[in-house]
Amino acid sequence: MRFKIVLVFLLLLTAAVFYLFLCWKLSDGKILVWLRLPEALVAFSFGGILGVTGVVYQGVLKNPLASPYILGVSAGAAFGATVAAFFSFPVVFGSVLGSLASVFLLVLFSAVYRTSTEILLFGVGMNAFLSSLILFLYAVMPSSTVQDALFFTLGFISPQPLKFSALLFLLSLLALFILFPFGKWVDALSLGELGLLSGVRFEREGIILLVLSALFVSLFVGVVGIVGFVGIVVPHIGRLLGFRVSNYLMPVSFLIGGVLLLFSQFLARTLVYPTVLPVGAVTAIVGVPLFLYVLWREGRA
Amino acid sequence: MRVLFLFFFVFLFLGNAFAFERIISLSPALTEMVVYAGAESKLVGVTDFCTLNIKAEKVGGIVNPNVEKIISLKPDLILTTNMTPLRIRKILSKVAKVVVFHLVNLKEVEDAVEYVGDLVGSDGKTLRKRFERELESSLKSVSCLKGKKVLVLVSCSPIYVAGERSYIGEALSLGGLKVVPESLSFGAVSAEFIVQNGEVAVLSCHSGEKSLELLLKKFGLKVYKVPGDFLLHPSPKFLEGIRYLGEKVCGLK
Repeated sequence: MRFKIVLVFLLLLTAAVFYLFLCWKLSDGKILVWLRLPEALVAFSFGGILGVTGVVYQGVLKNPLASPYILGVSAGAAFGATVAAFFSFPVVFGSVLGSLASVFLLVLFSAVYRTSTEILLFGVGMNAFLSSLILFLYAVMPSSTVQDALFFTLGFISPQPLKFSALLFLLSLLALFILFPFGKWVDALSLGELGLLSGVRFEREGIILLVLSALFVSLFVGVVGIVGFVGIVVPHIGRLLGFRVSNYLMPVSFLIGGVLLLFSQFLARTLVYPTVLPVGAVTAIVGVPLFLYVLWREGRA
Repeated sequence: MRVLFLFFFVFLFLGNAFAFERIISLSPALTEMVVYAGAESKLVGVTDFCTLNIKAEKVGGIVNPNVEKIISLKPDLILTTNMTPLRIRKILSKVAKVVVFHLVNLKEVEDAVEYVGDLVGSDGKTLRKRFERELESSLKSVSCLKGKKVLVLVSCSPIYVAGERSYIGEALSLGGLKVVPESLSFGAVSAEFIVQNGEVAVLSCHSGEKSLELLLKKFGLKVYKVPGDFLLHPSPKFLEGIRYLGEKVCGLK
């Protein structure tokens, strides 16, 4: 019953934020169809997928600070974008390849590193390594080409065609429907040794879940850019609302993540008009106080 | 009294006649100004990003120049912008005169042209007048855009514009164009802002031009492309960008 009430509340909130985003000071119907709707779809689906995969990562890695970026997906995308800018290729092309390459490395090294701690540290190492390579490239690149890569890492949501945005939205729903049945695996893995009784193993099911999640996130990061913090904070908000079982937490996190990023993008466009802020910065500004509050509440509980 | 006057004139003459002979430029725009002043032979060092064909040593980047190499070239003048870190400028000031420029608006660019001219031994005021004349004549080439609301995009994904307060914006405004946004020098804006406030979009991006061009054309905006190498240099080189635009838009050189 509680799940249904919160779900209805979240759906109403989603509809309200969508309405605010789409209709605020709207002067032309074409703007709605060609600009605002694609932007809203991209922001909502990206936020949603970050929320869902955040649940998976925190559960599988048994770490409340884990997020879809921890295994180097964002660093891979940023590195790919920087290399592409260096060779004057389209940044999007490079970032998609870079993020997919980081997923491939994860698959490759999962044969060697078999525990959740080892995989986590592998991610930390990959992030540090790729970040250093990015700094190296920044130092030798012309300033005019650095800007494309730099803007990518700042996390701006750029205009996308409507069909493509709808495709991204469907992809995020597909990710939710694919990951949803594996909620029990996530719960079992989050229990650690207790979970072993269920027969679920990190080196099998855990790796499959991480790779699957990273694959979906990498496609979004490659196209849209890097938006931090949503993947960490959203599952905690879901837990604060009382959802600790992954099968409930996943759809709830999808909605919260989507609404959080949509609302952040709305603020990014309107706070210092006409300047547009990077949505990644806004999510952190909105999300950090929320995150600290959630931590405080969880600590008291 | 006569002796005092004599001293004064000799001092004034020497002050004007003194020019630096071993110059290092830590900004492509400043290198272009030195060349504009006809003193490229005095350049002993330039950054890796200076694209002009000059016989000078490369001394590294704008924010990360090789200090040892610069010192080994024994310069007597180092031209930098505020993009070069302060701590590097402080070290360099111990071996040579360091002049720091801030190049965002048109007056700053014109002042720099004059000052660089004086420093390299040309007549700065004459050089500035030449620059102003050339700006005026290049603006005639975009006369068909007079009164139009123009946006100059220096990045397409995300959208980053040079507003009216930038050197590009101020120059085009002198030609009667209405550069938007009026409140910005450089900054990120939304696609929505562009379609609501612009009539003409000048794209000077490195990537993402094609999809944005298609989108803006759907809203009836006229879109023109100018290579970034022209407009993004706060130096006499950006006049070439204006002429390039004029040739494309109005068919005038």
